[in-house]
Amino acid sequence: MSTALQAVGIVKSYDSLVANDRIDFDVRKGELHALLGENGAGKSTLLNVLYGVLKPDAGTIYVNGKKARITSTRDAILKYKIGKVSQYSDLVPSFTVGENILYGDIPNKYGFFIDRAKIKQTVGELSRATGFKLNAETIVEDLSVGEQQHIELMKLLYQDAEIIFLDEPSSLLAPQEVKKLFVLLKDLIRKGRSVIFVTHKLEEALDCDRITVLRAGRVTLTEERKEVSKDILLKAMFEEKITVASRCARQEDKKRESILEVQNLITGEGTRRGNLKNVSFTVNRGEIFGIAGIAGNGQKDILDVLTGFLQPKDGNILLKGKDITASLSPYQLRINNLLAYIPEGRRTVGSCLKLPISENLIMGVGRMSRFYPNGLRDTREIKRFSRDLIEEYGVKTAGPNAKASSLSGGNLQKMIVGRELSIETDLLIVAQPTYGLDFKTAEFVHKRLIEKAEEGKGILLISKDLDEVMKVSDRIAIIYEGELRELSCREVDLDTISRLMVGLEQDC
Amino acid sequence: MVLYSAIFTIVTSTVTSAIALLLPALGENISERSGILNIGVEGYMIVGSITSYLFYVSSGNIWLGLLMGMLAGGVLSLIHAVFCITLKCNQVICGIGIWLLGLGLSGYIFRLLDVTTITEKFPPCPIPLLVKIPFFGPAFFNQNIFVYVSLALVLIISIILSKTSWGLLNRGAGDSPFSTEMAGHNVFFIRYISTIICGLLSGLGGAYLAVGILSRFSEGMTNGRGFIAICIVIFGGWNPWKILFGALFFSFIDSFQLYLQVWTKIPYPLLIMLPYLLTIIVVTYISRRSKNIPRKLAIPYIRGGAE
Amino acid sequence: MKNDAKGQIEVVAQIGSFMLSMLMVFIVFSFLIVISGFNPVAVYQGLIVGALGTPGALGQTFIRMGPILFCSLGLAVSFRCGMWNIGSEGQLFLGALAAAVVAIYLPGVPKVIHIILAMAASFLVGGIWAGLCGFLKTRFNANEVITTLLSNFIAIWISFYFLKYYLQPKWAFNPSSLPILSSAELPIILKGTLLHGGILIAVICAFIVWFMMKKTSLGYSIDTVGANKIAAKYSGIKVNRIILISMFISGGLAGLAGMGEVLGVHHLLIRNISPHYGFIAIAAVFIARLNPIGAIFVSFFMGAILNGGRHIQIIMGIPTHLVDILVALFVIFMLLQPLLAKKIITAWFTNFRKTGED
Repeated sequence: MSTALQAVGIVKSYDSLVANDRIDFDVRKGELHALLGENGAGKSTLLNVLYGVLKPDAGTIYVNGKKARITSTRDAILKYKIGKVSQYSDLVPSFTVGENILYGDIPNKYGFFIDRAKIKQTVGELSRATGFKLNAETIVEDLSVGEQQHIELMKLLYQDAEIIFLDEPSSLLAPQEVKKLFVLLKDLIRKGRSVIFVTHKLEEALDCDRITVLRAGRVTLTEERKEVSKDILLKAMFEEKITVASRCARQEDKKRESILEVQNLITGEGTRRGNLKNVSFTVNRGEIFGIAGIAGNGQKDILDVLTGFLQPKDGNILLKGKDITASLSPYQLRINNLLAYIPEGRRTVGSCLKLPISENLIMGVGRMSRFYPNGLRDTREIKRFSRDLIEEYGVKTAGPNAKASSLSGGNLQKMIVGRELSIETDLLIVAQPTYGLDFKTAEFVHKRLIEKAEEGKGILLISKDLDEVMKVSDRIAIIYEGELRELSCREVDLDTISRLMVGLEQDC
Repeated sequence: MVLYSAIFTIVTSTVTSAIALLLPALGENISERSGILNIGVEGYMIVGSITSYLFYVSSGNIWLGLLMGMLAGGVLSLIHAVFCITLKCNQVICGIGIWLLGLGLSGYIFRLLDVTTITEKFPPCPIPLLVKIPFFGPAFFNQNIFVYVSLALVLIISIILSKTSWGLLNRGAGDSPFSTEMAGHNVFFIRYISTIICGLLSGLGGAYLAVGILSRFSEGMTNGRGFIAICIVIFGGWNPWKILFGALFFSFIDSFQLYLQVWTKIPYPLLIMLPYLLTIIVVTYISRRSKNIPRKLAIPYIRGGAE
Repeated sequence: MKNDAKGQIEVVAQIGSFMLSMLMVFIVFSFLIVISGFNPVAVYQGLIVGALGTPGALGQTFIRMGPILFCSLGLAVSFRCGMWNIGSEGQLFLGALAAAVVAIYLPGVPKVIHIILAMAASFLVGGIWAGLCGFLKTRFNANEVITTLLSNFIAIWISFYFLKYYLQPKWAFNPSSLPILSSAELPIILKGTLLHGGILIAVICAFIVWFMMKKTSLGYSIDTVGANKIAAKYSGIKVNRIILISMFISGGLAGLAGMGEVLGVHHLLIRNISPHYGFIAIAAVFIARLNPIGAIFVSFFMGAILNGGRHIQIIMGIPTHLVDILVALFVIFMLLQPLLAKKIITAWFTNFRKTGED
């Protein structure tokens, strides 16, 4: 088997962080090669180097045995026939499917008019080749994320990509769709193409022909599938042996006091997939209640209602027994310290990047009187508070006056976690707390959450990451198409949950 | 009969004057679709006015005047393009600077050269058969040739934007410059061309205002038309035909207002501000559903996708 | 140690880039002067003499600095809140109108009270006018760049309407009002010049705004909303309320600029009460990085240019528009200042990187 793509000695650093540390890596023709590693190991960086998005500090790339100069993505696509499907859609939302696929090579009639017939024809051909049923004229923003990924794959086929990169494609797909994806990939392999499949999930890696493991920027293992086992992979991925055990098994059947009670919550017109159809659940003191599910099934509505951003159509919200449905505004919730909230999207909505860290840490109207007694700033208190929190949560920074934008993703998340966990409240709502974080930081966050639960807080965890939910929650529920289904401890295993996440009923 | 002639005059002057709003609006539409906001359109227009006026007076050729006015607008827009596209500066502030620059330059040149000739306008150019239609004929089809050219331009631009690949790129650069770059196109180039076209068309509009309608130059003569053009783009939902309608509508208000002054006792300051007021009302109404707005309008693009 | 060095480099970079931008302005401006047939040295000399040469000239510089400072302060507040208020000019006009009405038609009031009433009126009217645009934004999500921009024209015409139809005495030729009562006149603070107390009020306002933004919870809320509206909302801040308040303050301060012109400079209301002060302030506050204290210095600088320009116009016969062009060049080239500052900083770190520094 010949080598399609080879990277030798790739080095890439950002300031002091070495994301890729002399990486040697190769993919053969007709091979499905998994690039495995936990968050922050350097997988995306390597892909970006190979795709021409980033320039490596050192190293050489060979395509089909010949030295390659990939200076831009255009080079990668046009000269070296490399295609990439990333987690974030590369598509133009207002364009049609056809326009997106043929964007790089728009067919013309009479020299400048767009040949729509040809576009339709091409899309039809690709549709048949991949098995994805897509209409050339549909506007992309009306499609689901999974369908958008299909378009990206069709685009790759159109561009005749020989070497295909997939960057964590399953993060937005249901397990069944992932299976379909693998079928397509295996078909592409048979036709002689090469696929690099980036993932942090062991099961997916084990579905590939060869596996390379990255840890902290270095390659720790490259083996054929038959030479490895789950344990070997885990050892290569993590320094210590990790067992992802579920807390559920350890739960004692205590009678706990309820902090948050959601009763018969209905949002929207009930027509959209993400609208809540009749959701009820309880979060008790001293426990973590985890809601797992694929994005877009109602998590956003739950979060928006509980944080006062969305008026429910019907239903009641009770906090410590008191019905607060009528006074659900962000102001009311915060001024009485009824809850603390760690939102998804640390850069976009979770923090104020322009402002110093101290200003971020004191956010929360409920404690304004502490930092601005009588409306006037108490600088000393703010400084002290900030320094303490920075130390307690291990936020790596020059000081409280540094802008939040200077923090790395992990440190920014720690800052936000510190900010919210330091609020004197009984209810904590947490969404996607460890998305994109390296293992150490993720562990840290989980530990803190469990600590707070043990101190007596009630925590609502909403996450797309099944492992996280299973690891940290005392009770688990699955949300699907706006309906919530709580699981008993017996039911908590990966297979059951996966099926519930896509709406397949569990036969008792 | 007086009423008839009044309405007739209003309609005729509406169409004639609308071109001075239509051209910059078409230009700004193209530019905004690619992601560049030109608050300085007023500046492009007024340098177009002074340049066209001077060249017309000195050469006697109205088309030369229009051409030079157009180019003047293009040059000013090139400055805006360099600052906003290559240097990625704040487009709102740059636009204000460009506007003040255009205003200052045009006034300065005017004072320096001190020309006050009244020039000859375009002669009316009746379209043979159509002009015979009662009322509408003389009102719509007895315009000057430039009006017809401009209306044809609407059609041409509309076709280009919706049916050619250039139109697709223009929209893609404003909606998703990253995808456009990944598809192998040069976002900066697309934006440069779009911005310069805006400058050219706006300069042409200002030129037409000076030599085609008002027959002279006076300081500040564009009188906010550039800003109204920006509003028309929003009214028109970034669609050339709706923009044409918007231009006619505002031109109508302007012409109508002149008559209201004569017929009624409504003081003219209140009438003059009508277009602006109306614009705010419509913009407010439309803002509740801005589906068509180019997603990355006024956000500078950094190659490789970082923002 | 690392922090200190970094801080020092930043200051050097900011000042250096400012000077570089100024240099570019002067190069282009000199070119313009030369091809128009004037002597650049004479022009610059004239500018400086006109701005600072005599106490009278200095007074005039301060006079022009006042409204620019007022407007800049207002813009600092609204920009820091994330609201692109470019309607200062119109707010100034309406503030002038309100101040004029109070100043002309309220006889028998002691001096200090009269001035305070006029200030209150102009602040209120300017503030409400800006607040309206703020309301359109919070309620309808109407883009404030457009609404405030257009509100300028509307305000200018409204002001003219009232001037011509209500305030103008029948015997006046140019549109202007009756003179204001002497009890409303701002006192001269520099003997022998025309410099009125408005500048003092403006500088005091600068400190008030600085205090508000840095030391009060309102200032904190404004900065937070400006940094990230949604995060601010999550933390419980009433975002709409803060936006309205910041717009009100912004328009109010611009209104005070109008008050200063009526009560201190002209002593009546005229049609062209402002030579684009409101727009110049946009550039000024940008250069001052939205800092109220910095705005004091930048406004002085702008005032000096405007005053110097008037001097060269009158004494040397150079058309006024040349100064307008100079101001426009400033607006444009100052946009480069942050980029140049960044380039200086990165150049420093690549060439003079010390070991052990991150």
